[in-house]
Amino acid sequence: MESFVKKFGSQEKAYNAVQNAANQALKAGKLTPNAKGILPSGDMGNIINVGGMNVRLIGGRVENGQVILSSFSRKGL
Amino acid sequence: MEKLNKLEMSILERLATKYPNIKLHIPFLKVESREITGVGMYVNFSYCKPIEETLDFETDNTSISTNETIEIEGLKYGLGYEVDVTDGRIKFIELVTYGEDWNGDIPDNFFFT
Repeated sequence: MESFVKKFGSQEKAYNAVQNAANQALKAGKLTPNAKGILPSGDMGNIINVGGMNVRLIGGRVENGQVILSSFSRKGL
Repeated sequence: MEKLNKLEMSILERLATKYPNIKLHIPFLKVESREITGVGMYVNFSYCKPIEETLDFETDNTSISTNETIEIEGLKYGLGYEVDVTDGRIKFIELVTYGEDWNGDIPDNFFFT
């Protein structure tokens, strides 16, 4: 994740970038929440594009049309 | 180093129904540390002895989960998790909440949904 954080300048900015990208992916119908609004983890985690870099969401929850992030990773991407 | 607790063992045993080779690794695992993040936890493992048989995935470096929710008292939405596999070995479990603060306490009466 070092290069990812470096791209955005700080951990906070990187987190916000992922948050924004996740919300956009949700609006575009690219995320797969279950019936309870929970997003998948592991190798089924949704992969989103954040500023040209792929990021895999680890869990997360959809509420009122927004994604509440749990965690994310760039492992293997 | 510590033994795996009931939840950690349950996670790995449930994953083993999908990835049977995990069962071979469980007896060799010890908990190196548990890092509470405030919204989750990292359980870091080490192997007490070398194991020849690595976990057989398409790649030696991946993250796996059964995508179940762990229901525990005190968390409205429960916990999610994934297990990190690096170089064919189990490196850590990441436990995450779904937007709730968590102090890392795990009661014995959890269940998977």
